[in-house]
Amino acid sequence: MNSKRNKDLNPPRLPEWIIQRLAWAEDRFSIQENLREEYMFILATRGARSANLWYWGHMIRSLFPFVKFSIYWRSVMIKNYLKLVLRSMNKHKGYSFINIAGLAVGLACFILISLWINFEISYDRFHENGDDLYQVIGENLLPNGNLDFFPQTPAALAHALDSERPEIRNVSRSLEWMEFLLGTEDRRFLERVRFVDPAFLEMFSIEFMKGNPKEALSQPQSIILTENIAKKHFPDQDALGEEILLGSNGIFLVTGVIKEMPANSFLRSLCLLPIEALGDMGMDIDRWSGGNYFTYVHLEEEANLEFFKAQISGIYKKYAPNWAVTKLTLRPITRIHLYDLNGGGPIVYIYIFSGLSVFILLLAMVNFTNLSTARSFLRAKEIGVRKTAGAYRQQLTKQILMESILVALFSGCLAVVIAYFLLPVLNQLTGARIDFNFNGETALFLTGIVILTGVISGIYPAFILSSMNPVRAIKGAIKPGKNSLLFRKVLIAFQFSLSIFMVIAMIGVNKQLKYLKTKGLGYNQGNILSMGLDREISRCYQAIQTEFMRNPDILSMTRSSSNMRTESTTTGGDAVTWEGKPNNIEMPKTHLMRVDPEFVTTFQIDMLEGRFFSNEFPSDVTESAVINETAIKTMDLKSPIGKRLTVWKQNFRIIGVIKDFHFYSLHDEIRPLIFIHRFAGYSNIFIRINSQDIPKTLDFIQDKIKEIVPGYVPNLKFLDENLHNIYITEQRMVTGTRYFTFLAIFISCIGLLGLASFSVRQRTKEIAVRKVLGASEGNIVLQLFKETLICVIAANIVVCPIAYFVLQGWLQNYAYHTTLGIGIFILASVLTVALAFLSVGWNVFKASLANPVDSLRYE
Amino acid sequence: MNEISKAEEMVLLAIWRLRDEAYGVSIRRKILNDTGKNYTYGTLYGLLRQMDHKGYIKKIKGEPLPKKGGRSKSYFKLTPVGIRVLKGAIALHKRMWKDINEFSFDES
Repeated sequence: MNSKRNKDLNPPRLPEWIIQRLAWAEDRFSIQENLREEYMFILATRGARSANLWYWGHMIRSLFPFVKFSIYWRSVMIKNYLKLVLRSMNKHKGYSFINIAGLAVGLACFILISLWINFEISYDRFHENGDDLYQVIGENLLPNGNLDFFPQTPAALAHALDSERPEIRNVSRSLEWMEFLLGTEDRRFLERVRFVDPAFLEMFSIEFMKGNPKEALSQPQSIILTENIAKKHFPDQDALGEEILLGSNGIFLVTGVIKEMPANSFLRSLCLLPIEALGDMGMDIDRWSGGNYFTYVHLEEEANLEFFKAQISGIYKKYAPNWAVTKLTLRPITRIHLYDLNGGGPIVYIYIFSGLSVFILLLAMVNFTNLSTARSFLRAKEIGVRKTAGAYRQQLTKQILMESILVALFSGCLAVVIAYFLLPVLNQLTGARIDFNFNGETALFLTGIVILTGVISGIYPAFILSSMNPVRAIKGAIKPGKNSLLFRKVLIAFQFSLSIFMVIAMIGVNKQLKYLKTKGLGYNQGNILSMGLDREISRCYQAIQTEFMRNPDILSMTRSSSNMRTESTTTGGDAVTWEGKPNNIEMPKTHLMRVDPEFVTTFQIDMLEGRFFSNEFPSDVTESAVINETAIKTMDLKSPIGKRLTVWKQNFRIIGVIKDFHFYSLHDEIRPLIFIHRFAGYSNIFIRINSQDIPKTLDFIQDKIKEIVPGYVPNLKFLDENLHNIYITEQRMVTGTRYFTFLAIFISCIGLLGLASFSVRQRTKEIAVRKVLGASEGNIVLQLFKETLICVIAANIVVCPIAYFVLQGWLQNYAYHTTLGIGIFILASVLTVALAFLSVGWNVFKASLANPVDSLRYE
Repeated sequence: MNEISKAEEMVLLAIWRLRDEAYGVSIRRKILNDTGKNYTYGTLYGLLRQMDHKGYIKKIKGEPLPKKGGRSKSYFKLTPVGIRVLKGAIALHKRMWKDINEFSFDES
């Protein structure tokens, strides 16, 4: 064969390159040479064309065998790695337990959080038109320059939008704050219902069990029941076509039964009524003033969103020049759940908890890395032998990485099992209904995460181990280096920093919740029952009151337009004026509450000045107003009694000033409040009862109400329990951080335990020598514990200020918040040091007691 | 004794027949000439590697190729184990085909 080959005598480049890529390293060259040889032969005998053709054909025919063999050999190697991993796990059971348990717990936590996040972001994605559905919202520019968004819009807006904008395919209003007695003659419950335009059913994906969605809302006297309510009132029969009573508004025909809305929808599961029914109840459904309606639009797919927003932003001006809104805009319905209109919302918790789950996983990885590097020189001989036998560094790195990936995979499987069993806990914690659905996509994602975990936690040990000098490794001359020791200490400090942070956060959040729950609200919240009120019950109120007051266990009762938990009617700006109003003062957001004269006695609130409403002054009903301390301060009124107050162009006289109290959640500071006394417009009854024999009183109330309002089954609740429910988010935060803290501490401590048992064993001889030279047990414990102590204390010093600022920042969200005393930080520090001591302690203690003769007799 | 596949048998026989001249090209050509099987180098080297791993054959480095930086050609040789498995293959054949020839199938 000619050794000097011309360039054009070479085989075609592309197939040659492909074959080179595919062939395994040791035979790559031979195969290439062989092919060249045959190519040359064909070239010489039959010409270039057929030689090239042959080469290409050969390459293509070789593809399959190459791939087949490389897979075969790779699986042989993996089998080999697997065998090694299993052997070493079997040999060091405690160590493998710490690694696998830590990683499994970390991964399980990660899986659960991912499931929860997946659930949260799935909100309202199931609507077929979801991407084109928007809620119309208002945007106000506040005097301080901030924007205030609100979702309530006037009833007439929907029609105006529909007639002016061609981009709109469908539009619907929704009114969902009214409650009615709903049911049959002898069994009625107070239910919240939703009034909508017929288009609502086309826009949102609402699943019908019975009835025709196209016609269900075409008649004003029709109602669509939810599955649960249909079952409640028509347990044994088909609800469709039945008649049902709606408060005092007469008989409604059931034209459909819908499934309950899925848990991941911002739309509450409510019975649906046509909006025309409101007209029959005497409400003007084409008004531009007083907006309590939500307006939803379904845009054409090709609509330009920005253009549309610009077009509607001032659309109301033509119809309602006085409407106090600056601008109209839109928000996609898929954001309604996740993002609160004025900042915050569940999205914040998604960020917090996903961050935490990543941190927990990091902790577990740190354990793995730490233990592997600490133990690396135990494997020095193995590595030395492998290297001498001809293993490349790259191969060793691959092997060690493969081992950690395998450990991660074991942990991953375990984690799935743990997550499966802990899912109910998560559901309870978040109040969500999350299923454990494991489709291909999540499995792939999870496998990816698991492998990544293995790689990240194995990369440093792999680097350390594969870089060992084989000669020194076999001689046993390799000792843990200064660098890797420092690295380990930093990792321990890092782990403990997170644990300390979690402990501080847990105590802080807990303290705030306790503060919120126990802070005085300015009135006596104990032993107050609350129940709803609709027009029909209102009409019977006098009879109810007369009957109730005969029972000595019922102390007093009152009606109010507020539920004492959430904001109710608000006003402000130029809607509120008063006698002697200076020009430079304008009322900020002001609350308006309708109450009857018994309000102050029932809630036991003191008056500051003047008097409260009284039945002895009939004119109170229309002419009098009572305001709170904050209002006086804001208005800068010196002698308020008798002054004229105008709200929404109605004149009142101020007859009294009430002491400040919290009339809704403590998230917000006390705002100006104006009480007016009206016959109508109440939505809640509050009953103060005696604390003796409460069940009897409850029965009495139930029975009497049913007698007076035929068939009414009231849903009685204790106000203080209801009040606690306002802080459900904080409650969940507390429980959530508690779990996370526990996990963080658990993982850090088992990691420390593993390291300690290892380093103590490493230092058996040192301890023995020290003892022989006269060190006491105490000295030795201190000596051994010193290193860990330094790490933990360093972590404390770094973390405490950070935790302080983060918590302080969180507390700033609350108008009323607890103070973070130094106690929290001391408690957290002491706790973590104690825990570190406990996890190191057993091994250290055991080592300090050991008889030096046992350790030294082989020297 | 392990039984070998037909493909392994062919490769082993080819190597034995080629004695000192058994390398990629010659093995492939031998099989092509003797049996008509047109193996690709992918398949051939896959088999060779496997049999090397099993210990039937061993790889011998030849003289470096006469060019700049030339690497040496790999020759293959049967090991005693390889010879034993080949003998085993003959014995198996004999047992399998005992009392049977081409005409035996005509009876049925």
